[in-house]
Amino acid sequence: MKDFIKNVYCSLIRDANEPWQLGFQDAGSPVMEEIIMLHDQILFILTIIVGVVLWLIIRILLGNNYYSYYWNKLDGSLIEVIWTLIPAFILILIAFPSLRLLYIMDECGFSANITIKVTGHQWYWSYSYEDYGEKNIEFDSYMIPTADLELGDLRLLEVDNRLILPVDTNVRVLITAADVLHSWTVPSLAVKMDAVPGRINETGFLIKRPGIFYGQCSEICGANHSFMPIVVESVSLSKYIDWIGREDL
Amino acid sequence: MSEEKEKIVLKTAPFDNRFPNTNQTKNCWQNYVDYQRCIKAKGEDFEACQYFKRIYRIMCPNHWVEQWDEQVENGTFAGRI
Amino acid sequence: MSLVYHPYHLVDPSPWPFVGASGAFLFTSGAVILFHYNDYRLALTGLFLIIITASAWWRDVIREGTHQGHHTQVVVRGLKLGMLLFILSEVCLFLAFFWAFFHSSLAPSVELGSVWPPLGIEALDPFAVPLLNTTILLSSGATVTWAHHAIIGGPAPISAPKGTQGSEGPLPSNGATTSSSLLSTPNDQRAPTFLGTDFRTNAVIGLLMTVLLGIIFTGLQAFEYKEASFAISDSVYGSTFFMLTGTHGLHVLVGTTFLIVCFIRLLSNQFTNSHHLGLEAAIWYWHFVDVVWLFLYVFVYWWGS
Repeated sequence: MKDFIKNVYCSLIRDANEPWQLGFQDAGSPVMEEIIMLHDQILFILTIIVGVVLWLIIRILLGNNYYSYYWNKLDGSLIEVIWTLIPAFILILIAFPSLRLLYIMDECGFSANITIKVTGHQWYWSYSYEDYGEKNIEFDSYMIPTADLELGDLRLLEVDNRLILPVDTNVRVLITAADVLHSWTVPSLAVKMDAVPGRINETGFLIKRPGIFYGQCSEICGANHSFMPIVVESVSLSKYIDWIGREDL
Repeated sequence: MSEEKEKIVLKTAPFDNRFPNTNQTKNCWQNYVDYQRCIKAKGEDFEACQYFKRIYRIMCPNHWVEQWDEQVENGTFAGRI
Repeated sequence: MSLVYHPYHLVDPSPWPFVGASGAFLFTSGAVILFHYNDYRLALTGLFLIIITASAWWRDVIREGTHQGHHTQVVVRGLKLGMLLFILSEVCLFLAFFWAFFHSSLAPSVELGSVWPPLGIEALDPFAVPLLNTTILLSSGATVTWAHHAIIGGPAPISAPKGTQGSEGPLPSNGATTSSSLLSTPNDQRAPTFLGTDFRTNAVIGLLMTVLLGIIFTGLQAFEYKEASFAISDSVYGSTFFMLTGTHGLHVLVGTTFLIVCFIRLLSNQFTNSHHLGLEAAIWYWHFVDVVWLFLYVFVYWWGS
């Protein structure tokens, strides 16, 4: 019973993908909230379109007007204007919030308080913090093999060293790779940024709540591409500062 | 422990208008080169040079810096210092 | 030969498309084998087939056009359009290589030290041999125009007497003459002259000079390649430089060969003042190669150094 409770508890508090998942993971950052919002908006429009079009198709195919007006119509300026203008209007309705969001996402790293460097390797991630003067925190993050998992751990998703970050803080992430292409991805934080050898890509986010956020390498990078997960642990600012100050780091 | 805590300031490299894009490679590079030029002109202990060093340490992947330091030492660095 | 009631040329069955395609296939797969295993036999076989196809196919085209009279005005228009589209596709090829060059040189990557040419690359002096080559190619453009004008000003095709095969059918005047036009001096007009000698000599000298200038250009480029302190594997500078100048050099070789073929055809009196499509295509091609060189010189040799 205790094991069962621990298992359920662990899977509940962790922000990871789950079997047969179709929707998004819960948002961990404002940008992710916006993305979900935009997605819902578009899906709302889509539902109306699909409904109307299906209704028209069924009506025309099955209705009692088989030999009626619509089947013999060769052209009609009015209907052409209507079904050009309405889709155009709908597309504008989608385009503006979409562009707005695109620009918001682009400016994520602009006002950062913390910079972390992420480097993709075959096949692990390494993180480093250089903000704090002479104290240079640098560590590798390997996946924990299935045999070593503990109860409640997520298979192929746990790592030995998590990336620790504070909540409510603008974080700049600088991503590069040491060997081949990788991609640093955390769905809950709305981050998916390619790691390219010889290039530094900047992105950023603000974590809203304490939690453990899981992601996986998203650019095929070789044999163990599936076995280099990403785990971000967000903690309160004071705990973060405690962690930074630790002697053993 | 508490003494250590007081030293930590949450401050990082500021946004640089010269590099407004996702690609920050040249941001790291420029600060590295600027530091090398600075210490060449003013010497290693010149206070203002440390600013560039701080920025490039924040912006550059560590293995790049190691490689470039080695190249500078051997005189094979590709940039003009 | 049956009578046709349309101006189009319906070609006969020919082995060359198949042989050419086989050659291209063997050449590409042979190139892979050459690069990976240093075995050149398959690549050479493919190249041999391609050369055989090119020679024999164009020999057939000359037979069809010059000797059988299939190249009516309509066909000539189509061939001209085809040549122009071919040159346009070549422009696209060079555009791609120039794109690579500008991509790499306008914002040189940090591995190059953010400078162009990269540290350690000693670029060729643009005001030495490359400048000479520019004048050589520009002069060859002038001499080829000289030859062209000499041919345009030269004698018209001698119309064959009525009832002979050459002028039969609904074909418009198309210059389908046999070898009789330029060699013989027509009796009913004064011998055409240009710069003191007759037109034919002018054409021959002009074209010969063009070919020679092309060969000199190739020789100087080979000399430059030999003297260059960098190779194709020396950073993206070497890659773009040799890719661009190498592709251009290849086109100079093709253009020179094309002009040599035209020269031989000129000596065999196959061109008339109104029908000399092969030469015209060769001239277009040569001018195209010339223009590419000007871009190469200005951007790669001059600005790029």
